[in-house]
Amino acid sequence: MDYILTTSNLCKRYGAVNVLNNISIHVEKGAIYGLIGKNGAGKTTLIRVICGLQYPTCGEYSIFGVKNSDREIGSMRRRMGAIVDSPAIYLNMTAEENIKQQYCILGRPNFDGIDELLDMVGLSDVKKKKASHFSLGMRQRLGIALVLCGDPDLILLDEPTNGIDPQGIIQIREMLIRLNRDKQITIIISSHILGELSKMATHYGFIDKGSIIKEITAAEIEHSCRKCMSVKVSDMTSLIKVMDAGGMEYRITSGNTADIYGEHNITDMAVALKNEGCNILGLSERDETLESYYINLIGGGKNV
Amino acid sequence: MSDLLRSNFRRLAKSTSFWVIFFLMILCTSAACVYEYRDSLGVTSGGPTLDDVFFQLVLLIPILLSYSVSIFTTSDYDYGTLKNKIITGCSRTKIYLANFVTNSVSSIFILLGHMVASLSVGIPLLDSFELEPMTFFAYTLSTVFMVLACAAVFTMISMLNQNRSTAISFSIASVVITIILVTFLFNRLNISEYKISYIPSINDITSQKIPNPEYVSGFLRSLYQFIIDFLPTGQSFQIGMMDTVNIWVMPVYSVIVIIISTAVGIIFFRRKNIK
Repeated sequence: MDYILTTSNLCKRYGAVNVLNNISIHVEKGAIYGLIGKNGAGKTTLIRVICGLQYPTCGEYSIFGVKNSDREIGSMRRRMGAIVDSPAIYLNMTAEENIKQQYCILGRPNFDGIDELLDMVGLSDVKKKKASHFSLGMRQRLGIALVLCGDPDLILLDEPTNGIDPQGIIQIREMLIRLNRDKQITIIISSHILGELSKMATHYGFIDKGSIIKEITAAEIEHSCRKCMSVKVSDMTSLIKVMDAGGMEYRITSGNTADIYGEHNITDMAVALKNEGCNILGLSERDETLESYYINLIGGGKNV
Repeated sequence: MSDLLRSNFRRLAKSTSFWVIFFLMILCTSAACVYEYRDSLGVTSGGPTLDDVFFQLVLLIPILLSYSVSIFTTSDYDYGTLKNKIITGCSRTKIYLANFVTNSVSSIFILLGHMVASLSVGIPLLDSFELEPMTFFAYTLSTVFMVLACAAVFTMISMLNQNRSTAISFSIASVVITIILVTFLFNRLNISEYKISYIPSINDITSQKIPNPEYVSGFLRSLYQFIIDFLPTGQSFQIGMMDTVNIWVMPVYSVIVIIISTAVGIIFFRRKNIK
């Protein structure tokens, strides 16, 4: 497995508070890795440590196979970009000047490609406009443009859609998917908006109280979050007979209820149960989503 | 580090606060020349000279630099753009040194603005310099190194403070406090060794020189003089008053200040958790 980023028992302590507790994550090359956790879980701190803005208290991480303690880590960082907390842009400069600044920092010999970059993020019409006059969404897009200046292989985004309108969220999502698909850029996104994340992430890392609870692929979640129908009947034996005959995947939840997974013809099932002399007392669809998966994982249902 | 310097100088060229300080310096110098010229009208000898204007306004430079260096350096924290440099692999030492070099260049530029203004406005109004060439060179050299020492100290304060207001306040406060200290020490050192005591007698009053108990001597005198010579604001004070004791030692002290403040700044900046 080709991992572009790994962390090994990474810890970060502020005084007596453990913000990160032995975090170990593995991000595959070419993945869109969604980092999910509630406020204060440690997502931003983890990203800050990986970006070199803060130092780990213990543990280590590797970027492109190079450990953070190695001298070559600086050159590896040239292949990554990140937006941490909020886009870092000079508000007193135009979009074009901001990108030129980033080009200088990266040591690029000329300013070629700026127009293409601005076009990619949808800011070509406002390149001469000062960033202080930009909306939040425009600043976020400019931040992404700055990240892309160095043709990175790895991008870390800390809640990139915070405060963005729905149209802006869609544009950013489509841009990230395009970057991942066309340029094979590995993307790590921390976000609260599970619905948005579920539309693009290929892998997930669930973090809570500074620890990784679970790492899972989108395919595995898809398998777990199947369509589910909850059935309440008068005769469980008959229901089991019908479900087995129909090749249905099911789980008995109580003496007279069962969860049936997958999509099935309800009419056929009802007719079959009637023929067995079994009455349907209740029927509801309960599709599991990323949100419910997360709630079940973190155990937050009791807090709702 | 050349990449960082290129980026910094581009940013400096677009910095409104830098240009305001620069032109403010030129304005103050030009105004001082005109003011001194007006003072010299009708005075046949002993009036103000170009040397006075050229070095007097050196007193103003640490105050201006405390603001211009802090504003420029902390803008990276204010906008969060320091993150862009660290994330893309620029070493913290290089980031610090690039900021120090940029601040040094901008400070020297402000000094040059003052010098050019005093020459271009002062020479037509106040004639030429009257100082001995070697003395003039010594004062100028001390001024240049003093400016670099100020740049180093204010860079350190600004790089270690993530809050712009705090950095500016600390920098300005450091100038004000040290100026007050230096003024006090300077006045103490200027107390004369002897004072005249008048002894009345029956038909006459005689005077005699007696040792002044207020006079600072020995180790304390050396200490006071060292503090004034060592602090950049002390140096600017002496240069501005054109009353120096150890003019050739002051650049050495400035170099020591530069080395210590830069080393301390780099050490603590490397350990800093960037928020």
